[in-house]
Amino acid sequence: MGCPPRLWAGSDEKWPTASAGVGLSTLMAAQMCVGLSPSGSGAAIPFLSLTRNILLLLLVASTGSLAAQDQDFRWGRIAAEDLAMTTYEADTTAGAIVLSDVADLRFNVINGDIFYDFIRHKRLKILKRSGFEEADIAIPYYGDEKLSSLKAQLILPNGERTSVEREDFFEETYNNGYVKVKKFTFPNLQEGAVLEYQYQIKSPYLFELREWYFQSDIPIRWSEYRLAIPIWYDYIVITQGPPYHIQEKEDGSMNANLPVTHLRYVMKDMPALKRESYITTMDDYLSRIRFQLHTVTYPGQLRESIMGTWAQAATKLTESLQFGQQYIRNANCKNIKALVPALIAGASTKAEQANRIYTFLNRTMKWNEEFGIFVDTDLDECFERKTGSGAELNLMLVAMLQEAGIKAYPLLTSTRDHGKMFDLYPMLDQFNHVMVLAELDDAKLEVFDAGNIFRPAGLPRMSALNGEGWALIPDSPQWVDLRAKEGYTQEVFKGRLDEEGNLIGSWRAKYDGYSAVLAREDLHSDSAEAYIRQQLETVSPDIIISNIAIQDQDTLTKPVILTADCTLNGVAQVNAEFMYLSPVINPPFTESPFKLEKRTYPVNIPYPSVSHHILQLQLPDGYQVAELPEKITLALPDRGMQLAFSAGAMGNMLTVTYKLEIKQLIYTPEQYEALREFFNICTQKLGEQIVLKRS
Amino acid sequence: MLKPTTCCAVFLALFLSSRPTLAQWNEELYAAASIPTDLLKNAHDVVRREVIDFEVKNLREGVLRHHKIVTLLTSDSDASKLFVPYDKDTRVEKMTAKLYDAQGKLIRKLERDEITDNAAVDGFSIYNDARYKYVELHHPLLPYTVEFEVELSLKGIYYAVFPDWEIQQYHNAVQFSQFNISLPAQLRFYHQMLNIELGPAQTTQTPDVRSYSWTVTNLPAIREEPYSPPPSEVLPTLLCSPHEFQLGNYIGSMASWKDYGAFMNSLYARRDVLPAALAEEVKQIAAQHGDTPAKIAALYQYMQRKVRYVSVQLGIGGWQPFDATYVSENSYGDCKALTNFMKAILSAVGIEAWPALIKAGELDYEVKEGFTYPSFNHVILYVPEADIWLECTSNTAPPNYLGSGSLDRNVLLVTPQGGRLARTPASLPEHNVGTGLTHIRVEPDGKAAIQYKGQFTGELHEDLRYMSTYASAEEKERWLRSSSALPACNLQGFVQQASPAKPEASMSYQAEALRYASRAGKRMFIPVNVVNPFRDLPPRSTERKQPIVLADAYTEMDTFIFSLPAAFAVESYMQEAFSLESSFGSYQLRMEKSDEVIRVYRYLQLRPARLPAEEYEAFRRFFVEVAKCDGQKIVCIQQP
Repeated sequence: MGCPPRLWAGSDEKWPTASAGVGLSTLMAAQMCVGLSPSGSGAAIPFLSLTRNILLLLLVASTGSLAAQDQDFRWGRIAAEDLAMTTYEADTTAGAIVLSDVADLRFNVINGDIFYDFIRHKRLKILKRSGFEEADIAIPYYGDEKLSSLKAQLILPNGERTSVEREDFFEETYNNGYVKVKKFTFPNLQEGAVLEYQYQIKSPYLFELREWYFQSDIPIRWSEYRLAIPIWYDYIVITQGPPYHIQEKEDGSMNANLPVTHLRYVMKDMPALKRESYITTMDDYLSRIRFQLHTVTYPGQLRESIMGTWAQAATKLTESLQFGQQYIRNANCKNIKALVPALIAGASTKAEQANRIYTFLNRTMKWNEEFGIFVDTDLDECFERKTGSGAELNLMLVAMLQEAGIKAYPLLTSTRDHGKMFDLYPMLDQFNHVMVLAELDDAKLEVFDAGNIFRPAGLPRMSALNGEGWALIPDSPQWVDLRAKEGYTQEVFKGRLDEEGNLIGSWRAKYDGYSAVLAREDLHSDSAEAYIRQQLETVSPDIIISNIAIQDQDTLTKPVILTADCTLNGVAQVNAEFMYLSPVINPPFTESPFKLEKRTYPVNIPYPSVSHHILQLQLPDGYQVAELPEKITLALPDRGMQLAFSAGAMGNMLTVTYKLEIKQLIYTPEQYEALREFFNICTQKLGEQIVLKRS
Repeated sequence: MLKPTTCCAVFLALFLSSRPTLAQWNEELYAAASIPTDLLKNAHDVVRREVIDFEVKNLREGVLRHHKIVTLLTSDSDASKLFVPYDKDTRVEKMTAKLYDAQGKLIRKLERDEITDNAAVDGFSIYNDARYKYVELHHPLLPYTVEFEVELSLKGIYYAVFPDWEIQQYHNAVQFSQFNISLPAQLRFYHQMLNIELGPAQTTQTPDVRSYSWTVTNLPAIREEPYSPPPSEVLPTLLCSPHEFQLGNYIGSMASWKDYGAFMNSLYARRDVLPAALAEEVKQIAAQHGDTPAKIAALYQYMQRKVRYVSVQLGIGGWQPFDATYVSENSYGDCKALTNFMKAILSAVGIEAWPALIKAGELDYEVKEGFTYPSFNHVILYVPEADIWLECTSNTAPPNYLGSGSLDRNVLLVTPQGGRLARTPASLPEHNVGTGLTHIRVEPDGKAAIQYKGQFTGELHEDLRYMSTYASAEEKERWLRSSSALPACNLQGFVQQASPAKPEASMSYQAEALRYASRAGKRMFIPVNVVNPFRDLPPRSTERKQPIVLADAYTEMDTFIFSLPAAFAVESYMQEAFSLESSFGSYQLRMEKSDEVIRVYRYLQLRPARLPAEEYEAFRRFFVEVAKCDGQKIVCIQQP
């Protein structure tokens, strides 16, 4: 046996699939080479490898029954009751269900190349027309993998079979051939049809094996993943979701001379996934399993750590041509470093120097919307092209800050939709983004995340607010808690109410933190007038705005302040001698964001916020306040959320204020009911009316 | 102008160009400061110089060269992006780009690895062979200038729809743009100039080649306005069509709609023969029904049960249908294939039907007599003897009902005698009617029990029909919440039912809203209309230039019956009766108070209209008033 294939580590782009079974996401992406160089033949090996489990959520290993299945998974052997099925008892609304989805992953050695074969056989039942789209199949895979043995057939309840013809399998290529997608659909599709298809993928990517989803948008009756892994390879298993129906591990051998560990995972009767909002990503919660190569021990050789320790991961990253060497090696970053002296000239503090460099990069470089932790284009070349990924931009920042003599380190993280991180094992694919941790004056640490001209230092992009990050500090890499800074809004309207129910006065809004980021983005993409109109049109579609002024729109370190004179026509409803006024002229929401009665997964709000609103009005002559909303203070336990509302009248002056504070960001399903009620009361309170009566 | 072709998206968004003579070229073109001042107004970018050169080689192929220099003035401009679509037949021979700073100094040239190459996903095809190459240049400081050069060898469908000259986009000024087309002397082409007077082309002629050239200079930017006519009635464009062209083994002509229709007919010819068993089956179905419309309805519903829509677009397959046998074996096809299949079914029982090419959806260009410009993206079926239209890609539509995206427009009938234009039925306010009855029982604490029942016809019924077959319970609930203003409520029994034979559907629901009415002290505020309040206000439009086009055509008639708690009496509402009348719409809201209940009657009708630009404010005011009136609350007060 010769040299096994190169193994690749790291992960980049996420394949946008939510279907159960295989996701390409974990397969690999960026080019970081982890060389393995075993030799020798596959002689019996005297010790066994251990496969560990990281148990996330509720996993309780149910070591398993070897119970024989009553289902026949062989090609074309469809049970009579499945053919006859007209509704799925467990979920009568389902338009289609997965009867079974079974995959085998086996290692193979040919001409010295080690790879795995992934063989998948999926069987679906179409129950209603609404399930017809499940018959459109797309199988994504990487360009240097090989898909073969694809077959597909449809079986009608009367037993009639139709196969998908060879010429009806299509292939599309994306990203210059980097990703391919095999596509087909089933002929003769009808309600009641059973569909099955099978394919094999030969893959050289051993660092991460194909991940498996046990759950999808439609119910899955049986989902099974079996792996036969040579004992040379020790994989970390990451699993989440409810306990397995069957989980087995057994020693055996694949060929006479290749001892393997057999793993088997089964879930049955998985309900359709219900998507919820205010969540990081459903991937954090649905049932799935992943495998990451930990160590390799070839026969007659010493155990080689692939994943190693966090310290080793740090070294590997530092030495990588597509990571550390980008900001260390002069050949890749000399041009950007050469800019630094001029940029920081005259700046006396580290904070000011860092801010100048950060601002320069943000104004010069455009983020290309790509995430990932590895560099595709050398930093100087990125600068030439004025565009780069999040990693490229932030590693440029590392290079330039270091050039300025500031201690700056890459800070690896996972964006919210990329999922949560776990620090047990140094698996780089859990990261998909790089930010910067810099030590400024008096050893104050600050986070930078370049790529946008509206975010000051300390405010990563909102999609990257995921709780923590791993700082690549030489000799002491470490996890860092990242508490998101708050968004602050203060709005004041001062003026008068006229007899037709119009509000005339001056409006002033002050935004800081993430609220300022949002306001600056909107003010950049649209006119200030349009922005103000958008703020106030909930209470009046008919607004006249003049004398607009913006303060500190470009000074990110300060709040942005917007002032204008506004006439809001028809805000109060005038009925005969009464006038009814909703005093909250820019409600943060007009209906509760949490309408669902129950919640399965935690609510996760990206950042804390405070909004404070004040309305001061002179009432029209001859009118008096007949009724005012009651003052209230409302709080969730531990003051995780708070609302304070008050309304008062003195003479013909009316003052209404409210302050809404959101501090706690994560709410469990058990805390959900209180959260929902809080927003219900808020919505109601902020919609209450003031009654004026002509005297 | 995009020329969507039959049922598949073949977009040739690019124009071509040739190298200009050096004499015309000059460095000032790259510097932002040299843009004439009057071209800056309303402009996101300015085309400094553009030359498009289309060289027709023969009946089957041509070369398209496009050279463009654009200065970007604002971040709203997309001019630094270059998108080059192509397919298996068409080759991208050249694609280069350069970037210049505000002073016109060359900053850099595009590197090959910056170009991405992808399959073009149209969102509805399981497979099509369209691809695109894409690149974007970046520069941090506006203004800056980009220069693109593209050369394409056009063949197949990309050739057969000649490239157009889209002279101007919205918010785009043009300093200089030239369009050249040259053809072998024996070939001809047709053209039509839209929204600009340029006079005849400069022509040159050699014994072998005829060339035509048009030039524009200094066109100020045109602002995009809401409720405008379609771009083809606003933006300067030159449309081109070949006299003759060859696609695979087929030769076609665009000399007239008749000729083009004859060509399409040749693509459909002999593909409409059903397998014998199927022919027998449909004959039996037809025999069970009396007159022709009844036979058509029964056969259409048979087709709807048997097949489904799957789009596969490969080469000439973009224009030519799979034959009827293929569809019957696979039970799927795209619009061409399913239309052809239905045609075959009718043909088997002796009913003649013709495919009709149509531009479905937004009508950015409408085909007209006098100029053969095949701007189509869809095919439907027309049965002349019964005057019946059939949408063959729908599994749920009633017979003789075209969806809102296909009504009221010119189409090309493909008949054995060639093509001819016809018009699909108009969509009038009386065809699209919603009638609703809502009972709302309000409790003292503001809680309300809502019971709703409504009937809908025409365009208003389409969502309900679709949902009744395809939507999950969650999707239905989401639809209801977004199409109404229902407050947080516990929804029970949301039911939709569509008539199998007519474009009609009903829906009903019951809901319990904990906070329907807001309370303040002893008063209670009861929203009048949470069922279908008008909320889609026209945005403001100042210094309006374009006429106003309102396409909406519908009528809503609602009755809301409020039962109040015993202890409450009405304190006030806005007006007993309110009404608005204009050329394009009518609105009435009337309150009736009795001892037990308040009845509110609401009527809204919108009619398609085209109004002069100066009426925009009045036009908008109508909707503001409607929204205000729909949004009002009845105020009740607790009796001592």
